[in-house]
Amino acid sequence: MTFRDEVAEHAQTVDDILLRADDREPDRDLLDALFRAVHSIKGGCGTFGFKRLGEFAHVLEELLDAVRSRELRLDLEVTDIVLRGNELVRGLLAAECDEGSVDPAEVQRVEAAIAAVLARRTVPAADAPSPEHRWLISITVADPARRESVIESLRAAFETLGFLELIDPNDADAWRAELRTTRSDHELRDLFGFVGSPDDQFLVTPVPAPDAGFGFFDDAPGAPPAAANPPVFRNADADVVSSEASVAQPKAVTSSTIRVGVEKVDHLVNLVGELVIAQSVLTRAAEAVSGPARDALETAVSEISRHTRDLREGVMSIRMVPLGTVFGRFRRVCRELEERLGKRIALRISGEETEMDKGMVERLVDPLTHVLRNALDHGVESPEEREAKGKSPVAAVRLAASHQGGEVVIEVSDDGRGLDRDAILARARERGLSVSESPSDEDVWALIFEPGFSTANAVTDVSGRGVGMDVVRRNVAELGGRVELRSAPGAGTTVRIRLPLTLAILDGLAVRIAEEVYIIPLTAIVESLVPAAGSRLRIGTGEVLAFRGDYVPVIPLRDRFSDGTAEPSDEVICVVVESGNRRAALEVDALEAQLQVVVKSLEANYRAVAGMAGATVLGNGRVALILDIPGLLGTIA
Amino acid sequence: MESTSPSTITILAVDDSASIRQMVSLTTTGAGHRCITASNGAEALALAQNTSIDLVLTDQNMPVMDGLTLVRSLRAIPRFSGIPILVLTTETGEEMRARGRSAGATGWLTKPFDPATLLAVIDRVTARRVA
Repeated sequence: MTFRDEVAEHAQTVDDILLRADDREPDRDLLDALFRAVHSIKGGCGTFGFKRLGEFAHVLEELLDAVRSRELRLDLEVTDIVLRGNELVRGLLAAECDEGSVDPAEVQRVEAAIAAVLARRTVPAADAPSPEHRWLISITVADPARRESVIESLRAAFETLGFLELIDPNDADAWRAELRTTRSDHELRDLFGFVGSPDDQFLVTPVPAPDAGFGFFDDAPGAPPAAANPPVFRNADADVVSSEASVAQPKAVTSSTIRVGVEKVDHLVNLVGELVIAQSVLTRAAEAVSGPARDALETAVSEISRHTRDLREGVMSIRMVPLGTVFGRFRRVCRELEERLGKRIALRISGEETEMDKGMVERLVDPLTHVLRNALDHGVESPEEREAKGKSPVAAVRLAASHQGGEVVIEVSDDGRGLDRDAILARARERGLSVSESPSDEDVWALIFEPGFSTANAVTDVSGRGVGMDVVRRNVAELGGRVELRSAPGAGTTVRIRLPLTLAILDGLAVRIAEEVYIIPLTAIVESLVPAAGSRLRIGTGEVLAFRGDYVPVIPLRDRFSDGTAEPSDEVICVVVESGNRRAALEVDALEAQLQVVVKSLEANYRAVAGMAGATVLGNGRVALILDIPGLLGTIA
Repeated sequence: MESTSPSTITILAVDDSASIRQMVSLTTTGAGHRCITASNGAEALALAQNTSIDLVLTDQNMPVMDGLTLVRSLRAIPRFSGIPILVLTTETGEEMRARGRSAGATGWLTKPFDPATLLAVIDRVTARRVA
C-alpha cells in the first residue's frame, strides 16, 4: 500500500460520501468522515513532501472543516466545489508522481470558489441533536430456502425507511447492515414480524456514537471504571427477538482484511498458472507410466489436480473486487445529467457486492457509462412528458449486477420511452444497412449495434441509442462478453451485459491447424460444422459459407498458418465465430478438445502478434496460441 | 515510578507520522506530562523495555511493526499487562475495534483528534489511577 494508493482511496471516499449525501441532509458522522479523508491526504503530503497537493488539500480541508462545524451547508454549490477539488486532488497526485499535469487555472478557480463560500460562513446554530438513529441490524434466517426472499423483502423495506448500508455481504451466516433512520427499533422489529418466522433471529442494536473520539473496552486491561465510559456497543445491550434465547448472541465480528499490492497478487496468479500447466504435464506423464508404481502415482496426481484447482480458484478470488467500487461514480454521472437535461431520475443500484476481476471492472467503466448516458439522455423522457403519459415524473433507472452461473450479468434498465422500431428501421434504410423483409424486434434492436447506424446527428426520436452502441459492443466483446437488449415501447429499455468472471483463465476450444494446436475462445464460437457439399461458394479471391440463411466469409487459416509442408486433411471443419456483429468461418483441420487455459500475454513474453490474443501452455507442455477473434474478423474487408 | 504526582504521567506515543508525534508531544508536555515517542512498533517495544510508562498511544498502520502487534507484544510483558494502551485509528468500524480489543488494547482514539480529546483521555486514565 503506497501513499499514492492511500490518497486515491481517500479521494474515492470523498466521492462516495458526497454522492451518497445527495438526497438527504448528511449527518455529523458523514461530514466528519469527509473531513477526515481530506485531512489524511493533507497529513500524508507533509510526510512525503508532496508540496502542491498538500497546499491544495489544506484549502479543501478548511472548507470541509467549515461544513463539518455547520458553518456552511453542504448545498449543491459546495458539493460541486468539493467534487471539483477532489478531481484536482487526483490530478495533483498524478502530477506529483510525474504522470500528468494539472491546469493551474482550474486550481485557482477552485481555490477562489472555496474562498468565496468560506467568506459567507455563518456562526453555527447550536448543534441540534439529530433525531436520526443508527441501528445495527443482524438477521439470521433459520431456513436457508427462505433466506433470500426474507432478506430481500426486509432489505427493500429498510431502504424505504432511511439509508441502508451492508456491513459484510460475504457473511454467509447473518445478514448484517447499518440503517440510518428516524424510526425506532420497535418499528423495525414490527416490520420484521411481518416477514420473519419465529425461528429467525433479528437483532437491532444502536451503533455506538463515535463522537467522543475515543473509548475504552469494558474490562480491558488498564481501562478506567466503566461508569464514566462513553457508550460502547456491547452484546449485552443487544435487544433480541428470537425463539431460542440460547442462540441469541450476535455473531462476533471476526472478519478482517489485509491490503496487498496488486503486483503481488498478479505474481501469485502467474505462479498458479505455471503450476496448473505443470500439473497437466504431470497428469499426461502419469498416464504413460505402467507397472506397480502406477496406482500410487495416479492417486497422487489426482490429489494434486484437485488441490491445484482449489488453489487456482482461491488465488483468482483475491483479484476479485466488488463492482460497487465503480458503481459509485455512476451516481455522479446520473446527477450531472439530471441537472443538465432537466430530467428527474431515481437511480437504484443493486448487486454492488458482485465480484469480478479487478482488471475487468476497470475496463467496464467506459461501456457502462455509455449505456447509462444513453438511457438517461434518450431513454428517459422529460418530467412533463412522463406526466402526460401518466408515468411518475421521476424516472426509475436501475443498475444491477449479479452472478449467474459462471458469468457476471450487469443490467442497465430504464422505464423510459423504449426503442422506436419504425424510427430505427427508417434510419437503418437511410444508412444503407441491409434489413430483412419483416424483421423481428430482435433483428431491429441488433441494428443499433451496427457501426454504420449511428452518427453524431442521430435524431433523438430514434431514441439515440445508436450513439456509440457499436463501441459498447466491441468493448464488451474484448472482455469476452456480450450485450443483449430488450425494449418495449413506452415501458423502457434494458441493456444486459454478460461477462466471464475473469480474463486470466479462458474456456477455449483447442483446434488443430496444419499440425499446430490453437485455442479459440468459447464465447466467440457460434457453431462448428463440417460444410455440406456445395455450401461453399468462391467469390472473387475469397470464399463464403452458407450459414443459417446467410453467407459468412471463410478465413482459410490452414493456408495462412501453414508453411506448406503439412498434408491437407481429408475433411475440413469450419468453426463459425462471432465478434460484435461480424461472423466468419474459420477453416481448421480438426477439433481437439474443449478446455480451460491459463492466458499468457504474448506481448509480455515475446511480442505482439497480429491475429493472436495470447498464448497458453498445454498439458503436453507445448505452447498453443490463442486466436484473437475480433482481430481476425477485422482483417476481412 | 518516575511520576512525581498522581496527575503527571509518562506517555509513549507511537506513530509513523512525525506531525502526530509532535502534536501528541506538545499537547501532553504542555499539560505537565512526560512524553516519549517512537515511529514504529519495534522502536516502541525497545523503548518500553527500560522505561516506566503509564499510557501508550499507538497508531495502527506503521512500517516495521504495526500497532496491534505492538499491543500484543507489550501485553506479553508482565509490567505492561495493566497499562492503558489506546490504538489510534482512522477507522471507526466495529471490525477495527474488535481487532484492537482482541489484541489486548484498552481502547481507541479516532484520528484525527484534537488536543482537547487527547487530554480528556489522559484525564480519564489518571482519574483511574487516582481512584
